[in-house]
Amino acid sequence: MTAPLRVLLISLGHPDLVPGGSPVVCQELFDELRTRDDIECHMLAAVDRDSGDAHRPRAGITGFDGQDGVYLLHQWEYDSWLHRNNDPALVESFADLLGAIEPDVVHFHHFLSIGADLIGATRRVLPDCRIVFTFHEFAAICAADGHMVRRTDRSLCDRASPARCHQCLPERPADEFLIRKLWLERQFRHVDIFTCPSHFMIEHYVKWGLPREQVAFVTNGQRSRAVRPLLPRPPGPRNRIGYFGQLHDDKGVHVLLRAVTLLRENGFTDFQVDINGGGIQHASEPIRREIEAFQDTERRRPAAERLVSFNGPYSLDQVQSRMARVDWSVVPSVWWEIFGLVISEAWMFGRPVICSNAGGMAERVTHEVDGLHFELGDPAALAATIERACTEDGLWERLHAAIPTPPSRATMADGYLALYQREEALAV
Amino acid sequence: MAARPRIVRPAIDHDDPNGVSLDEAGDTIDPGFDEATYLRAFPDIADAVRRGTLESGLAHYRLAGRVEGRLEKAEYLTLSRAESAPATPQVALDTLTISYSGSTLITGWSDDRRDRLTEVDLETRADSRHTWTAFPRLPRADVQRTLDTSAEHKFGFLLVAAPVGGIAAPEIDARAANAPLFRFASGKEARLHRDPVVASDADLRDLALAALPTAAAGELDPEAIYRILDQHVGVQIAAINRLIVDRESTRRLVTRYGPEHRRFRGSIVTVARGDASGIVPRLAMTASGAGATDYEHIVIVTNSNQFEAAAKAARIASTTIGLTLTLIMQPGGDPAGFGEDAAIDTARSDRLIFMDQNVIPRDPDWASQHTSLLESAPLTQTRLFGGMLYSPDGALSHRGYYFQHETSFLPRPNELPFEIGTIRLSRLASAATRPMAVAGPAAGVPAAFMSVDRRWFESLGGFTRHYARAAFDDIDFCLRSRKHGFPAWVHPLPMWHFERRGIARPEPSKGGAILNEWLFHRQWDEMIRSELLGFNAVAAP
Repeated sequence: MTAPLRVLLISLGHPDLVPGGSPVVCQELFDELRTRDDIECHMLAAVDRDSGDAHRPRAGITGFDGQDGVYLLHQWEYDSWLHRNNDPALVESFADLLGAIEPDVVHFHHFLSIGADLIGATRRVLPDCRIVFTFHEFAAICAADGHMVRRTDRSLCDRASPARCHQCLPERPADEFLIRKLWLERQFRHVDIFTCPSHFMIEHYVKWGLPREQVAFVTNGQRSRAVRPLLPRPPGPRNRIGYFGQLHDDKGVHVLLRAVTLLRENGFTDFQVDINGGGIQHASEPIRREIEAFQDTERRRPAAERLVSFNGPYSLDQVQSRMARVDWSVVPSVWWEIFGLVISEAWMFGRPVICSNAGGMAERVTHEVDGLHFELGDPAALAATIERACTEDGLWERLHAAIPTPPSRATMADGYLALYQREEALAV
Repeated sequence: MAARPRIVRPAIDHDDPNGVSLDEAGDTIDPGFDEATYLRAFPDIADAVRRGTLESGLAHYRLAGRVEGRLEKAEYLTLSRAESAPATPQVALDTLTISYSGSTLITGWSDDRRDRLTEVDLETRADSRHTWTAFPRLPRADVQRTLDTSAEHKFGFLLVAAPVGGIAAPEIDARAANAPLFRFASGKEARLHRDPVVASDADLRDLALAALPTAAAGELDPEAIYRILDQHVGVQIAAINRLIVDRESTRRLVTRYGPEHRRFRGSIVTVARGDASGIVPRLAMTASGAGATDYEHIVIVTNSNQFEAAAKAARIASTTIGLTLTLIMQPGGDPAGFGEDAAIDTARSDRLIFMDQNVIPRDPDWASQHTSLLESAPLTQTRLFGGMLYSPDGALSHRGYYFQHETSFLPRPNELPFEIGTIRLSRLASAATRPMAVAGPAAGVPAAFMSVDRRWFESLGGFTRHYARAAFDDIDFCLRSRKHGFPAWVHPLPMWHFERRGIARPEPSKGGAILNEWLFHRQWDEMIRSELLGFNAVAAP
């Protein structure tokens, strides 16, 4: 009997403690790999002070509520510019953990909060291990916030350079961006294979400097959130629109609210919008004020005239109940949105997606086949699309019928296992 | 309310409402007045002068003594008659500063127009003394005003001395060195008593340097200040510099990380200035490519506030990079040659590579390239060489030094401008981003990246420690190497040079810059003029 393949997953945050797509994906992979007999899987989740001081945080690395094979890496001294550790005890704890587990594969999901230097530490402690790195957004390319949205005019950015990046972060001299890139490049030299969950993202990283043959596509996958059959919907127009996500600038909820205002001004009010999500504190001041002002105005309207409901944040367990209330899922992101787990969640419940025509959204949702695109950032275009979605006979049914099955966590795990076992990258 | 005493200062401050302008007073010196006799006759006034309450006996006389008829008083007349022979010329001290090692700085003035001041003597220990017999005399407009003369005579003097015995000299009782003796051409002597200001050698050196910018006041020609430095002042300040470096070099804490007990192909030496946060990224970018394990790293930290952070960084680098690292904690700032000396004492290879903290190799496999270069190129091209330094914008910022003659013109009212010709040290650079792959000799290469045979470096005495902070130390070394048959070469080993980033090598003070210029040009101008002047003059000797 051959020894099981030992895999250590390293995650930005843990979904039990930190919201976000990347921790969810890593947890899904962990849960799936734990079901495989030939895999011994461990997971190390980086958490910072915002996650609380659980389990002796100054200890560097601890267990996590007694969960088998799950550890927390407690970040206390972290250089968030170069993404590296300033606490030698933590780095040494990490090296000790590697020595104790002796994984055949170390799979980094992100480097934020983890520290890019731990990639180098992995290679030094385990010279022969397979190092896999999954990009969950553009943090290596974009120092602003990893979204590649120009702070100068909020346009989508397609290339980083010291001079251009300095325009977005004028407090940083241009030289700093080159140093940051050199530093990350040197750490990435220890990686055997990179993965991205979308093809357009691969192009960005190849353009940035990674060798194309070293970057593979592996989809994100999730377990189905449909835990019980959906109740049949009463007959009537498909005019219930749902937004699922954080309420900050790049997610574009303000584009949706502006579209609602336009529709109302144009006299079209036969629709409802459910806003599901929180995190407005992360929005910029102008966008936060705009959302709050809209919310306040809407609240003061007579109940019969309200078009938008703000339902607040939701947990993964609540996805089904929230999806059951809507016909369409709108993804109005004004950044590239590299994968869009919310698209998968909509598809789990047969909800066609109306999304911006860029990045991972445009790559996954096929316009007029299984969903509808609108011009990124354009409230008028979104308003027109919503009006059409709510009024065109047969449109919902046609798009609904073409919705693909979202990638499962098993599909994702198979993709990664192929890379763990040194097969060729999956060029899907 | 009693009126505040009005004190006449030799250096008149026209902006000080409490000061009294001699011009306003319209005074002239009474021919019967003699400073030394006046002070001896009236000990209370002498005491006030010693305490600094009064600037001089003359000041008192002008304030009150004339009105009081002091020159007609018996005490004065008796002494005055007894001393009808010519009086000892007047001497005044501005500063008497001394360190516990015996470094000394004296400034002051003497009205020695009729009897030249020839020697100053200061006993620092029972068995040791400083004796100055050649020292610069400086123009003193303030003294001219005090003495009410328009004579061109240079009344001021500047005396500097390094400790006798250098670093090995025992400490002195600095406060006892309080009685400098002034001798004049006639044989007369004047001993002044003044409690010295006791300072560290570094502070005393800085005080001496601070005196330089105004020492040649009114002179346009830089040679004027050079001539002042030529008269013992320059070599003595330089000797104090060396003493400071030598002493600091004896205090260091050395910690080794990583594999030990082996020899390396080279030792990469970096002095970490300012924040220690850059240590790990630099090491990661320098020590992680092909051939890197053949090299050890030596990091010298001179800022005490960064010692703990540096120790943490070394632990992290050891764990994440796995390099061989020596961390040297050596307090004392960053004088010339300071950190590099520490590295030489700890290096475990025959090759020293000085790499500034703001230099990062462009190619990850630079170490392998460096090794190949040593193995394939002739010794004449590798004994001492530099690389190609590139700015972050991609332009070539440094491929070696050259010298050029530069003429500047200082305007003078109603006259032709004063023409000043200087030899200027410049760097070969190009805004073009096209790589320059051609190796060749240069007048010198910067210490930002310098690779040198260790024995050669040591045989030439390494970087000189005489300069005030880091300046000219690299080109000075390169010229010494050239003088002994091995000019510096530049090879196409590309490096990023982040000159704008972080803390650069600290700039010397204005006086330090004057000293450095003097030291360099006095040593090398002759050789530069005959061999190295001009963009295209660089060639093997």
